[in-house]
Amino acid sequence: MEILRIDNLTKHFNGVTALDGLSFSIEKGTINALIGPNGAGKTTVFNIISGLIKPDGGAIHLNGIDITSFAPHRIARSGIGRTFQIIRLFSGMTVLENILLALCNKRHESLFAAILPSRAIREAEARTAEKALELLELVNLFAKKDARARNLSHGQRRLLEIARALALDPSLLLLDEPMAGLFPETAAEMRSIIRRLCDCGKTILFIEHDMKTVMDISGHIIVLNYGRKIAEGAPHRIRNEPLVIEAYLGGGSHAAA
Amino acid sequence: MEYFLHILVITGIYAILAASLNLIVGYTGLPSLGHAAFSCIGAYASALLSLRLGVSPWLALPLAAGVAAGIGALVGLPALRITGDYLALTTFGLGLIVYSIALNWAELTEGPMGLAGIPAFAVAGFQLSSAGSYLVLVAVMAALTYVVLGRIVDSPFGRVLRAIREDETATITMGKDVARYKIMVFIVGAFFAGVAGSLYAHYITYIDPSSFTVMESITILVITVFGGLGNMTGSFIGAAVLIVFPETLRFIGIPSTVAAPLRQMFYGLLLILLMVLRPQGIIGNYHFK
Repeated sequence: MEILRIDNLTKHFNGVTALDGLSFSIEKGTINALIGPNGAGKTTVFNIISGLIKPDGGAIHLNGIDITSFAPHRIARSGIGRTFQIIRLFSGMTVLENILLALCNKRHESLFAAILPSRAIREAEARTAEKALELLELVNLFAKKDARARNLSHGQRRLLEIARALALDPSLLLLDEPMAGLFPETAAEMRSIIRRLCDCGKTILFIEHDMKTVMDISGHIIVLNYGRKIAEGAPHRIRNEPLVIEAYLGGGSHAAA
Repeated sequence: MEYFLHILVITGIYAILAASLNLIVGYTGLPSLGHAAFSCIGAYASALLSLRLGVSPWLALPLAAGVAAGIGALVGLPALRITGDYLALTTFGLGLIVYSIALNWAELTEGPMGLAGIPAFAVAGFQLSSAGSYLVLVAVMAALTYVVLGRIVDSPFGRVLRAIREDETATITMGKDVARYKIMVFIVGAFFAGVAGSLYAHYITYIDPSSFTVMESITILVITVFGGLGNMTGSFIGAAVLIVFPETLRFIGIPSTVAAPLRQMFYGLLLILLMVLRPQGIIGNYHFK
């Protein structure tokens, strides 16, 4: 079953074409990689799916609903969680607070509830805290729950950012270069976490330059170059696709040969 | 003694102003240079309601705070599109506009002549016109402000505000309607600034536009920054230190013609020292980046 469908997406930045009629779709419960050389438009695709920037043309459907014009916070609530290439945590807040923020809903965060908190709200808060600790357990950050996010190591910050995105209980998770800058052990942990998430029914779309990871964990790969899709398919097909080899290694017939 | 009590009343009013600005600047990270505009609106609305319509100050105060809150909502709207330095300039502009209206809309505000004879608060026929009796009222209002704002910042609502301060984009991708929160923050901040303005008007019983200049907004900001951004207790300490301390200059025999400019210099010097030595303020949790 299709969870995400992107049709004919187009985006220009000051005359530069970042995306040029991009279309692809993602099946529910799969791990998908979005790859391509620097500047191919990968992060732009993420920013458009999560609503942070609006496309010049094209449409995005999540579970059959057109979300193209949705405000970004509404897209997040509709079930799309994301992380960023340059990690964006609430660095002055504690690890636990980062998760609690994502878990809490509108009702708990109303001004009225702040001034006159009811018992129901307090009880819901306690349940939320329990759930937050479970999520921290999942990414092995339980022991760090009271540390400020800025004091975590790079790998821990990546993991926290994923846990925070998971707190939204998204059906689709967008991960922008989850492996970047990780030590081999942490990278292995990250791969296993991504696989486990998929086993739990989450759909994953990730941008990655580490080809070993891409070939290893994804079932489906989409290759971009200059804002266009140049190839799509299973890892073994992409590996041998001449256009992909050319895009990565440079043009010329000798490169492909 | 009466003079000392008077200083405490003024301190309480500034504490309310600084704490309400702290919600906007310190907790949510929205720079605002126009806070005096909200207290101006509160003061004039309260004074006019009681002078022209004979409304009791007890009713005029919440109504005036409500008017200030309404204007706060209007200011919150541009804050949705403008960020950082540009927002600071926008709120600065608001301060100028409100001051100019108070100065020039003479039919309503009496212009530079100001409004005189503003009724005082009264409890069972007893007028709260002495500094001592008024101090009780101001202390209660300041305590109420401290409790309400304290609850707001310690709640899940306040957590969203701090998240906006830390990283607005990330907050949006967590499904938070950041625009709504920004407007709410300006509404609440303006409301309490309106309370402070109303308290001032019914205490001094005379107001004119000169009490609500842009310089006044800067003074409030200095108190907030000095006490500590993102810390409500800090705002109260900041008000106590910065309002009470300059007054002591009077008692060491400096003539008032020298003392007034000296005070301005003292504020300026303090701000410079603070930014160099302790940018987060006395007990702040956050500083300008």
